[in-house]
Amino acid sequence: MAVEPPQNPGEQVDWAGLVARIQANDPAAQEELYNLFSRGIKFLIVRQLGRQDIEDRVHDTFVIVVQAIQRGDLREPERLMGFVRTIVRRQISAFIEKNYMKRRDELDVDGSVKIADRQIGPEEQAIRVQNAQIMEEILRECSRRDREILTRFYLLEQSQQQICEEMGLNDTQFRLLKSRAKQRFSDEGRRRMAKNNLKSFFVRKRAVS
Amino acid sequence: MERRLPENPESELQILDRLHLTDEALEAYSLGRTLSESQLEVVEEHLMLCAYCQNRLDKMDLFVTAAKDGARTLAAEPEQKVSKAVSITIAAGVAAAFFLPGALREMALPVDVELVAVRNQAKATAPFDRKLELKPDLTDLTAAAISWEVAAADGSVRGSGDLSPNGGKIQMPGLERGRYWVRLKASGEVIREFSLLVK
Repeated sequence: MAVEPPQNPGEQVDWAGLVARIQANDPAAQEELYNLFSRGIKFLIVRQLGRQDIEDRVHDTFVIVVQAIQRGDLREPERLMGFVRTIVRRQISAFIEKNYMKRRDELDVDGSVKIADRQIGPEEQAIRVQNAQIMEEILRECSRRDREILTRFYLLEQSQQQICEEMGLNDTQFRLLKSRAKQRFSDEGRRRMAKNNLKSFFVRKRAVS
Repeated sequence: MERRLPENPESELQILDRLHLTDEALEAYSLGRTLSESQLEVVEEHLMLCAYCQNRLDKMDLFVTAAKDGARTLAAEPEQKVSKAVSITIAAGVAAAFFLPGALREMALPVDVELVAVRNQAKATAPFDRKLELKPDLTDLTAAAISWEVAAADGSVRGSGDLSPNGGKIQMPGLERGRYWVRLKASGEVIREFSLLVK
């Protein structure tokens, strides 16, 4: 049975009303704005910059949004989402610039700059390794042609158009192949997770008894 | 409020499907493929509010990363063994390849080379005469438009082009042995430079 996706939360918001209340310094409106956007702001910032100082960054961005609205910088209240997005992107650029200026003072003798990695933790690394193994198995089980198609798209970053033209596929065949690979990846991932959970369950039972 | 995308004859990618982002849009965003500014606007504005699509994008990221890692592992493996009957044909091909040293290697998948400027680490190296996919570290670079050039030690430029704004990579045909400089430029000025040794 197909599950209906949830409604887009943005579809039901009275943007003009919300902006007017924020301009009137209504604390409830600010809270509503925060509840609407904080998760999304955090999501976009984490994708670009990682989790370091994330709560402070989200808070700083939110304060800038509210102050800008109260100053009257938002000329079209219906475009509040676009306005917030613009501020988020500017904040991301500002964070990157600030980071660069700070590291410029740490130049090596040959002029190279140490790059801070957005390091992933051991658990994330283990998940990544497992997922790579799953995909490796899926690719090995594919025909050579299918393997080439997926390699071209995901590793070599060739466009769908180029791959279809050079390999004689139509769009439907291309999409179907990707969709099958994703489904197998998802199924195998779930199967392994269930197996790991079962294993941990029996280990815990043994430890308790 | 209904959002309508401006006409974009260069891209037929459908971004929204009724209420939510399409799988194709999420995949393109995850892969860092070039989306137009208007498409990027629609995607990111939607992601700011929609937890459902944020979760879908997280899953897409996992799949995309796994696909790249898995494909990279297989691409790095040596060629499969062939039957005796085929080996005779290949022997003739190998003889021809002796006179065309780049031909067979050109057919192989390119070699990934990460270009990272890190304190006290060796410069990037790459095998000679193999197609290369150079991945320069773009961290902290904020220029809107970045171009690249690959120059040999004697100053001759072996390739140049524009970097894609999301996760730009540089594809180069096989290079001869020697030292090269990979330069990133903005408004004509070099903003970052990497050393590359081909051996």
